[in-house]
Amino acid sequence: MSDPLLVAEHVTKTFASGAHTVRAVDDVSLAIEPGETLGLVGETGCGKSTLARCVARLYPLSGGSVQFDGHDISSLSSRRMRPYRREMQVIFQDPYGSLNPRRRVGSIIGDGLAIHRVGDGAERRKQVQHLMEVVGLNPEHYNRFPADFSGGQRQRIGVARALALRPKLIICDEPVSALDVSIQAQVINLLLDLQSEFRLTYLFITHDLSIVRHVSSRIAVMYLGRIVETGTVEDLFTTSRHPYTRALLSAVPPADPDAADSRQHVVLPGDLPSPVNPPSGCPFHPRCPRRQDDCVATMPPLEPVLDDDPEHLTACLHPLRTGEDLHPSRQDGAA
Amino acid sequence: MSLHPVVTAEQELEEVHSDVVGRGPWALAWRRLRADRVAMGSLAVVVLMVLIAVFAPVFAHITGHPPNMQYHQAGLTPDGLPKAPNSTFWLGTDDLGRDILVRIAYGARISLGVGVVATLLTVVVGVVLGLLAGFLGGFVDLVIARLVDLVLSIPFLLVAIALVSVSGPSLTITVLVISMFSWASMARIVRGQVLFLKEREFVEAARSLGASDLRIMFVDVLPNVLAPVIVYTTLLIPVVIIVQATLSFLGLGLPAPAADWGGMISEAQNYYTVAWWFVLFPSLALLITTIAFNLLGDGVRDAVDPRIDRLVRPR
Amino acid sequence: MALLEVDDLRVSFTTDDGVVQAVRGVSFRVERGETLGLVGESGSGKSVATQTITGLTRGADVQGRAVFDGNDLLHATRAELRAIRGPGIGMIFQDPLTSLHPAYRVGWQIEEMVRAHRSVSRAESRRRAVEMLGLVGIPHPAERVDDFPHQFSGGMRQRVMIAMAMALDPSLLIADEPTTALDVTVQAQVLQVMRRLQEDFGTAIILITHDLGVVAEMADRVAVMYAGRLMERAPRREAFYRPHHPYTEGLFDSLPTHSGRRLEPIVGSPPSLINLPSGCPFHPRCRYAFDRCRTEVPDLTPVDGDPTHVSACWLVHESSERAKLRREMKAASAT
Repeated sequence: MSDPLLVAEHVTKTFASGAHTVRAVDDVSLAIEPGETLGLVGETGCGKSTLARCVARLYPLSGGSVQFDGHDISSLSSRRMRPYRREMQVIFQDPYGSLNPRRRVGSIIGDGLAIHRVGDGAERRKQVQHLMEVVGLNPEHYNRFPADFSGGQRQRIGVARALALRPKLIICDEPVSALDVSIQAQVINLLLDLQSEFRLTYLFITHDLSIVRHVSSRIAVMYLGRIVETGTVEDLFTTSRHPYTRALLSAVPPADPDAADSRQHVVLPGDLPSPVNPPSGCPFHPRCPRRQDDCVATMPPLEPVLDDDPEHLTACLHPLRTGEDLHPSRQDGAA
Repeated sequence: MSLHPVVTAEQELEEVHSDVVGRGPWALAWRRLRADRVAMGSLAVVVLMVLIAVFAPVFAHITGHPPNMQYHQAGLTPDGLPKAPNSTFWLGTDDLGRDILVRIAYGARISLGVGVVATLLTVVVGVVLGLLAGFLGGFVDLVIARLVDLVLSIPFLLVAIALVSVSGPSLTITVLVISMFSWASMARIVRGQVLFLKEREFVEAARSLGASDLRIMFVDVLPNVLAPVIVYTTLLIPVVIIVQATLSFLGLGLPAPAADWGGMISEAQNYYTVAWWFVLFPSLALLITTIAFNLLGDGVRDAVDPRIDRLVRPR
Repeated sequence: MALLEVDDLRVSFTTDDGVVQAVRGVSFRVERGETLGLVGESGSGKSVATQTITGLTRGADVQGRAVFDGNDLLHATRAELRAIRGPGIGMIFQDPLTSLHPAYRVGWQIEEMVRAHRSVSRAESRRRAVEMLGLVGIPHPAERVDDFPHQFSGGMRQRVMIAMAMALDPSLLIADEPTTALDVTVQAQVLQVMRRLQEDFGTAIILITHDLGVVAEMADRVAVMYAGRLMERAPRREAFYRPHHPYTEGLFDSLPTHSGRRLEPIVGSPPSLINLPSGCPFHPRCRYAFDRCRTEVPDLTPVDGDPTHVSACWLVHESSERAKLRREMKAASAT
């Protein structure tokens, strides 16, 4: 197996907010192999979007390092980063905010080509029109403005823009969350087809567990800035070890009446935590039904637990055993 | 070769949409402006004023009276007072027997000329500084913001008077003085817009593509700032015109015998009891021009930035 | 008599671009105590329909009938509608941040509503507010009753909305995308609250959502809307296991499943509500469309002779024949 395409080691990102310091990303390490899709899941405030932007060097890192294709890009200046930007692109969540409303679509898609001076005007135009066809847009709409397109079409524009420079890695930040269900499926199929056609590697960020299961080969679950569990899709969906992972998976209502009637409802008490005032020790302990004394004091390391293979890592001192169920018996965290 | 059969279905649906799509934001704005009758009327008046200014010599030619020519015999009463509007002097004469109509036409050149040039200068300086301050932040922003505060706190008229009395009245000085004070408000508006736009995802997208700050500022941010800039510019012109008229009213404009609306009104001060036309017509010219620009500015603002509730017309 | 009967409801708006036909002949009923899941994507008209029934749309041209508990809603005066909203019909919306008044304490907002409809003392209405907050599971309700909306998290705010909607014990609750903006673990909490309240108070619910998992979890019957019309209406199990309408079928095919098979999205995008296609509004995107579909608008007809399961489709074949047709078409396209 070749070297990983992207390696993040102990990445930390803090923001100053008034008098507080917010640790949006706290000591996150992960690696993405070429050609695979790493799904990054979590709820609001878990830090997944911030992590994506740190990896893409859209934010400076507060700590740790990021290596792309063997090169350390952690603290490169924007000029030194430029060649790497060709290899690493982003597809954004908001189809309305991620496209400049005052620029024509052809100019938006070809922006990367213009910035990196690839070909002349005529060649770029041909490239852009080819890209539009590839993503399923009518190349004759080259001169239209984003407002003329639907949400799904705008996301395709975003995909074409990311693809223009033939990157190796594409970071997809909630690429279909803002779209209707029937359009989501179109864009997901497009992304998967492009991955095999252009041999792309994806970091796929989403809060939707059914989508992440469909597109990913490996998954990492984030909570309050930390990775709490990571492994293959199989590992996480059949033998999740971390109570939060289990709760997250159980919270998704299945689109199947029989399953809905027969399943056990796992409802976590309490609110989603805010990174402004993180708890001591394990970040999940205030809401965890399995909490014990050592959870409050110690930060659990991210490592294989029980008899898991070395790729399946869990950050929990009392992980769930195979076949064991999660029973939240408390309503507000009291014993 | 398309990976996706979606194009065919999309194209089919496009036919259904075709009359609703395909209009860029500027085309849409123009369409809205065209529908606004008041704005179109004002635009017509503005165009008329511009034509009058451009073709001022035609007025001189038709009436046969050059603007600075004093007609002591035909243009003044036996007592040496201005003559009321008549068949020779359609809008009457001033205290020196000069044709008011022709002088108003030439005055339009000054007012509109200064109005346009000073405004343009203001816009260029204000937009560039506002862009730099808003986008680059940090030290650049600090310096420019303090400069803006300084300029806005200086009492304009007093300083203008002082400057002009030192240098002597001239068109260039007038233009420079006006611009020197007006750029600050423009810069402040632009800076505010840029601060907001900086956080939008399309700016992040440009960064992720490797765009330099300069490119982002001018290719991505500037087109989005243009809308409020255009509105403010259209509303700035009448202000500049009034300021210039005020300066020349106070004797700080062009030296005599230049034909200029503010100067004419100043000269008319002593004659208003006996020669109402001398005060009225230059004042009317000024009034009509500024109202027209103001109404046009309102129309431009509504066209460029329509509110959502205008979309649904209640029955 | 059903609690709510809606008959051939039509709602349209006049705009600069033309007449928007948001709702075009929608009929349904809601019995006491049951939950009707109203499913549709953006532009389907689901929100406009329910908002029009409760008199919350302005500047619209409304036709048809809507009778709630014997009261004609569409011809009621503003005062009559206000009297029904609250004690008769409670409403909760997607974004509690914009539907709760930010400048007033939540307890006060609930109290105001109670006192607007019942002549009770301040102490009594406050007691009711605290009681409702407790019922929806807000911890320490007696203290939190004096908090402002922004002091609650998203999920808690939604619970406050539910408390307010249920304070006067309405017989019908209209919930418009109540959990769409919430994270999945928070959604589980809110759905649990709604289920419990329905059990305890026998409230009927119209649950508007695009999330089929939520529908499977909560609804007794399902109604699917598209482009302002009802496409299908069926009891829960029928809708999920034997959907008839191609649009409903398409929605299910768009969902990622565990099997990881390729998604089959519905091609194209929803139509403009100003320039609707002739005949069946779904025909441009329907894989089974034939000539009649393009010219005539289909009515809701019973499927397989079952009056509780109706579908607006010219394919009046039996479901089994349809399944066969579909298999044949799939086989044909695979070659």
